Amino acid sequence: MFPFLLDERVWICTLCLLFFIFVCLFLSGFYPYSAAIPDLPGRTGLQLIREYPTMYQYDELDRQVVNNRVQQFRGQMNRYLSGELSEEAFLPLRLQNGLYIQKHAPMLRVAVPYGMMSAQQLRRMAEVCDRYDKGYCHITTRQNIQFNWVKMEDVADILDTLADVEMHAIQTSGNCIRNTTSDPLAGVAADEQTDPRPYCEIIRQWSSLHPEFAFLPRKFKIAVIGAAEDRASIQLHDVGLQLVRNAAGETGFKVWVGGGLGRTPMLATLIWDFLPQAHLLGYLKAVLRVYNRYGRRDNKYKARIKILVNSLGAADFSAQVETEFQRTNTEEFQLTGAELEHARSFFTEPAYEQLDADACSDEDAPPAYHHWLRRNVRAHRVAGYAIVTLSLKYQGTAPGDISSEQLRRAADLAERFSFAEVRNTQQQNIVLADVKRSDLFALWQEASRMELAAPTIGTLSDVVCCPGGDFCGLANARSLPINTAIQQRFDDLDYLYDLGDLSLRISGCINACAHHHIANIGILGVDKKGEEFYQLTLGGETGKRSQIGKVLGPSIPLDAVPDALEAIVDVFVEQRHEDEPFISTYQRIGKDRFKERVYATGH
Amino acid sequence: MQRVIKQQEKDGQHDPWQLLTDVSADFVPAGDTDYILPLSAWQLLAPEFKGFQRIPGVWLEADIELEPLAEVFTAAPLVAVAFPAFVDGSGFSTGSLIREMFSYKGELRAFGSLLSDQLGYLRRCGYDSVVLPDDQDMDIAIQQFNADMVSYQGDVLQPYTPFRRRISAD
Ligand code: HEM
Ligand code: SF4
Repeated sequence: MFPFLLDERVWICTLCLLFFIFVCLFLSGFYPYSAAIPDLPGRTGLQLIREYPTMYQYDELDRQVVNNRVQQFRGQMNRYLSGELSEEAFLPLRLQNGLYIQKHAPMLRVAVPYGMMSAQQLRRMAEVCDRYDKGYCHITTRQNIQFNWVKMEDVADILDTLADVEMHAIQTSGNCIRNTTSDPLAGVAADEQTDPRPYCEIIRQWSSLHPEFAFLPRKFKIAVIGAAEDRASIQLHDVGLQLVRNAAGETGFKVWVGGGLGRTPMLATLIWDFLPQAHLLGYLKAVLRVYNRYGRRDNKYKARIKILVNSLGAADFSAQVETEFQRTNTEEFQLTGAELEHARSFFTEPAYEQLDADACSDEDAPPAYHHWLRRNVRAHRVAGYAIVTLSLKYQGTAPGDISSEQLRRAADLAERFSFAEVRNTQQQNIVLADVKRSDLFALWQEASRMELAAPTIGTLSDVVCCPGGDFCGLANARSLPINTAIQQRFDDLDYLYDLGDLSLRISGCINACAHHHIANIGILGVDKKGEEFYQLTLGGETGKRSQIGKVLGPSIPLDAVPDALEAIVDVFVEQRHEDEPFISTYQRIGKDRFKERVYATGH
Repeated sequence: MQRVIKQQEKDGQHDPWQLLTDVSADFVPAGDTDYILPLSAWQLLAPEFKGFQRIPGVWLEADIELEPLAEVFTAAPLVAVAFPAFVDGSGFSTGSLIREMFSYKGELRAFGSLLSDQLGYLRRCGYDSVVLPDDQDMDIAIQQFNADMVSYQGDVLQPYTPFRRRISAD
C-alpha cells in the first residue's frame, strides 16, 4: 500500500530525522535534569527523570533564590574586603551565610538539608576540597559539611560552585533558622510511620531567607522525625517535630519546644500532641514570633528559646503561641493537599528489586567482614536490602574528617550500590541507605580499601568529637588528642565488641558542638587557670529516649583522661549483668561507684 | 538631614515628618509641621490632638505589647518602629504583626540602628519607609528596598507557602 516504506533509504532518513529531533529536544532542556545527573552505569537517559528518586530537585524558583543570595553575598563580601562594610556589620551577614572566622582560617559551613547528598554533590565537595581547601572536609553533628581552610576572597566562587549542584550555605550559622535536620534512615527504617523528608523540604524552603526571622535573639534549630526511635535527637532542638497519626488516621505532629545544649542543657517540652500537618508553617511562624519578640537579647547565654520557655513556664509559653497562632493563621499559611503531594513526589521509593530476603553474600568471608556486618549494617524495611554505615572514625584521623579521594569513592559506592545517594549522620558518619544484601561483600571490600569500613559503629571508638583547641578559636581545651589517646587505649576490637553499645562524645568548650551532654560518657574541655582540664559526664543518651548526662566530679587534666575512662569501663564490666549495655548498668547502679573509682587514683 | 527611603522613590524625597523623641508638658505644635510622637504622648493627646494640623504619627519600641494598641493603628497615619540595634530583629516581627493582625494600611516606618543590607527584609515585613542611619550606603539601601524579590514566602501583604504558586502554575 505504501511502497515507499519499503525503500530503506526512507527508513534511514526518517530515523536520522527522529534522532536529530530527539537530540535537539534533549539539548534544549526538554529533559529537565540533564545538567544535574552524572552518568550512572547501566541506566539510560529517559528513565532518569526524577531519578535521584529520593532527593529534592531544584526548580526555577529554587535556582533564582539561591543565585540571588550568592550574588548579594558576593557584593557584601566585596564591600567588606574593600573596607566599605565594617567588621561589625559584616558579622551577622557572613554568619547567615555559614562563614565563621576561626583560629587559622575562615570556616565555611555548607548546608546539607536533612543530611542527604547525591553522588554528584559528593564529587563537587571533593572538588571544593582540592581547589579551595586542604584536600579534606568535615561532617558535622548537624549533618552539614564544613570546610576549615577557605580564603575569604574565594567564598563567593565556592558558593557559585555549590549552586551549580543545588547546594548553598544559607543560614548554616548565625542567629537565624538553621538547617533542618532529620532521621538519617528516613524512608528506609522499619520503624518509620511517615517519611519526614517532604516536611523537612517544606521547612527548608519556608525558613530560607524568611524576612522576619533573620535576626533572632539566638540560633534556632528544627528537627523532624517520622519514626518511633529518635535518630535526630529532636528533644535537643529549639523545635522538635515527630510525625504521628491521630485516631482518625490523619497525619500531624507532636511538637516539642525549648531543647538545646550549651551552658544550660535542656530537653525540649511537649507543647502540642497533635498539630495537623496543614498548619505546620502557621504554627512554626507563631512559635518564632513569640520568640523573636520576647526572647532575651541582653545575655547571649540566656537567649535561646529554651530560656524563654523555662521562664514563662511551658503552659504559659504554649498559650501565647496558641493565641498568636489563632489570630494570624489564615488560609495563606496552610499547606494544601496538592502542595504536600508535590513535596512527597520527590521522595518516592527507588526501584527496589524483588529479592530473596536472606541472600547474604559469602558465608566463608573473613571474620573482619562479619564484624562489619554486625556493627555497620542494619536491617532495611525492604526484603533483600540493607542499610550500611561508612565509618569516618578511622584511627589516626579526626572523627568526621573525609578526604577528597574518599568523597569520590563514596560517590562511586553510592552509584554502584545505593541509588546514587548518601546521608550524613549526627554521629559524623555516612549512610548508604539502599544496599542489596547480595552486594554487601563487594561493598565491604571497596570500603575497606578506602578506610571507610572501620567495624566499630556504635562502640566506644565511634567517637563524636569537635575540632577543639587545635582549630577552634573558642576552645578551652583540645579534643582531638583525647580522641587519639582513647583510640590507642581501646584498640582491641574484641574488647570493644564485648563492651557493646557505648557512646562517647568530646567537646572542646561549653558550646557543646559534639553534643557531649547526650553521650553515655561525655567529655568537656574546661579552662583551669590557663590549663586544659576535662569534665566528665555520665548517663546521657539519645535515641529510644533522651537524657542529659550528669557531671561526675571535679575536672581532671589531659593526661589523666585515658585512665579515668578505663576506670569507668572497668566498673561497667564488673557490674554489668550479662550483655547489658553501659547505659542500663549506669542507670541501675548510679554514678557513685564510677566516681569512687575515677577519683580513687588520686587526681 | 535625615535620609528617608521610601518605596520606589529616590534619595532626598521630601519627607514631611518630624520625629520627637520626647514631648514635654508645655509642648506647642507648630501649625505647619507633621509630627511623629512617642506612644505615651500620642495616647495622651488623642483623640483631639489640639493644635496639630493633622493627626500625628506615632513611634513605638519594637518589643512593646501590641494587643492594647488597636485604636492607635486605626487612627495613626504613620507608625514608626524603633530598632535598638541592627542585630535585634524584634522589629521585623513587630512590623509584620502590625500589618497582619491589625490590617494597618498607613505608612509603616523603620528607624534606629539598621543596616542597608536589611532593607529587603524590612520591606517584605511590611515597612514602606526607612530612616537610613548616616553611616549606611544609600545606593545599596535603595537597591535592596526596591529589588524585585523572588522568594519562598512572599511578603506580609501577600504571603504564600513555598510550593503553592509553583504547582498551580503547572
Ligand atoms: C572550628 C570551627 C567551629 C566553630 C568556630 C564553632 C563555633 C560554634 C559556636 C560558637 C557554637 C555555639 C554558639 C552557637 O551555637 O552559635 C557552636 C555550636 C555548635 N556547633 Fe560548632 N563550631 C565549630 C565546629 C563545629 C563542628 C566541627 C561541629 C560538628 C561536629 C559543630 C557543631 C555544632 C553544634 C551541633 C552546635 C550546637 C550545640 C547546641 O545544640 O547547642 N561545630 N559552634
Ligand atoms: S565545642 Fe567549642 S571548641 Fe569545640 S568546635 Fe565548638 S566552639 Fe569550638
